[in-house]
Amino acid sequence: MSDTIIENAKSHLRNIQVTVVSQGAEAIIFQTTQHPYLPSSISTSSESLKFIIKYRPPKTYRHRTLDQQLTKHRTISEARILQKLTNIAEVNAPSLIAIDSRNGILWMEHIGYELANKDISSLKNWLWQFNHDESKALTNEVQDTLRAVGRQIGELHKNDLVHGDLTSSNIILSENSKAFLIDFGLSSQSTLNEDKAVDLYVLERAILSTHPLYSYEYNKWLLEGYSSVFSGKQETKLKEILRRYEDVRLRGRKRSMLG
Amino acid sequence: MTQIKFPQFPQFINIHRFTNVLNSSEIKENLIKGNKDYDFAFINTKLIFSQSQLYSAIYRSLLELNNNNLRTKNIHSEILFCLSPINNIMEALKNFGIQNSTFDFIVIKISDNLEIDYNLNIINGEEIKFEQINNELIKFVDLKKLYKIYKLGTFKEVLNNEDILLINQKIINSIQLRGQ
Repeated sequence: MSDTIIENAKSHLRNIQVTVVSQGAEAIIFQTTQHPYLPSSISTSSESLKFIIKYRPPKTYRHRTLDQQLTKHRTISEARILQKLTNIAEVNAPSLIAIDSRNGILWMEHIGYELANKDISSLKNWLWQFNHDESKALTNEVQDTLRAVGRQIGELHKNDLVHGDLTSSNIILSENSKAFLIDFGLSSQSTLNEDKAVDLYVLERAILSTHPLYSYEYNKWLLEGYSSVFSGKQETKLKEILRRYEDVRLRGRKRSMLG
Repeated sequence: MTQIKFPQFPQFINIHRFTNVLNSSEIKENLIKGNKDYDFAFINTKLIFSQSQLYSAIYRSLLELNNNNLRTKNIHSEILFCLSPINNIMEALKNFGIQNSTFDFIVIKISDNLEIDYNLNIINGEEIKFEQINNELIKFVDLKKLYKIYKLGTFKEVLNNEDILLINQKIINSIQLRGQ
């Protein structure tokens, strides 16, 4: 199954050497050292010489026309979110390089580095390095990092964008230990406190299941960072979001369908 | 001349840079007439901020060509259209193409052949090196107009490195997302 997807992707990416980074239900992520249109001698925005290709393969169980429309729409809306994020200086996100919306291809800047164990520097992998060693798992460095991540999410919400799939593997730490949010595939614009609260709840659950040993501290620090970016007038907004967050925690991510 | 090729596409991209051109109005007339000897993209250097801006637009136009999805009559006008952040073709040609008074421009020829099989005697001007270095092009830019066309926000006359990267990224976003 995934072999045919890769063959499919390669037919749209002729002469591009790609390696699979990860695969989700919706898309497959490749990495390459080839920029689509800049010669390799020229350094781009970051010094990294790697690029990410997100490919949404056709879904054969859907009607062809509908499938093409959905793929196109989703690719474009993800790119639009990245465009919006360029204008929000406070939020770190990969920059857009190119889109081929018809074929469901999105080219982005590569973020992150290899940890000592060769894994990519996602928050998840970074935190997992310290597993079972409390002296390392709860240091000031970890605390600062999680607060920085919290601030990123706070800034995102302040600008009325929700991520839609916040997990510790969708947060990447860069070499200069800045936190980047990635994967805006489920992201959207929203002014609703409900959506923001759900975002926080999804993250809380993700931390709970991915980092169960220290989830209490981790969530506390994330929320501290999150709250710290709301100041002055925005504090009322923060209170409303946090109140809603409590509600969501009691009932879960989905609203009751009864009545 | 600089010849480049994007790995995904079979076409060759030849880039020439001309300055001190005296016959822009003649070139423009022939372009309007659809004279076959003038089948090139003539791009006003004043709105080319960076190499990635230009290449990003060429990339998109080649993508449209290879997807059989050209919106304008040929690949060369498509490049001008792809440079533009708005969907109006006439406006794009006006802004990014040449005017009677344009004396400095970039000429692009998309070709299936490696060899040069055309001549540029039609241009009465001086061919100079097309700078491959990103920051080289900024010197020739009409920043005010660039800000206006790409809606880059509050005008800033002096740009530091960070500003340049940000402007560049905003332009690439606009080019890639136009009409999408």
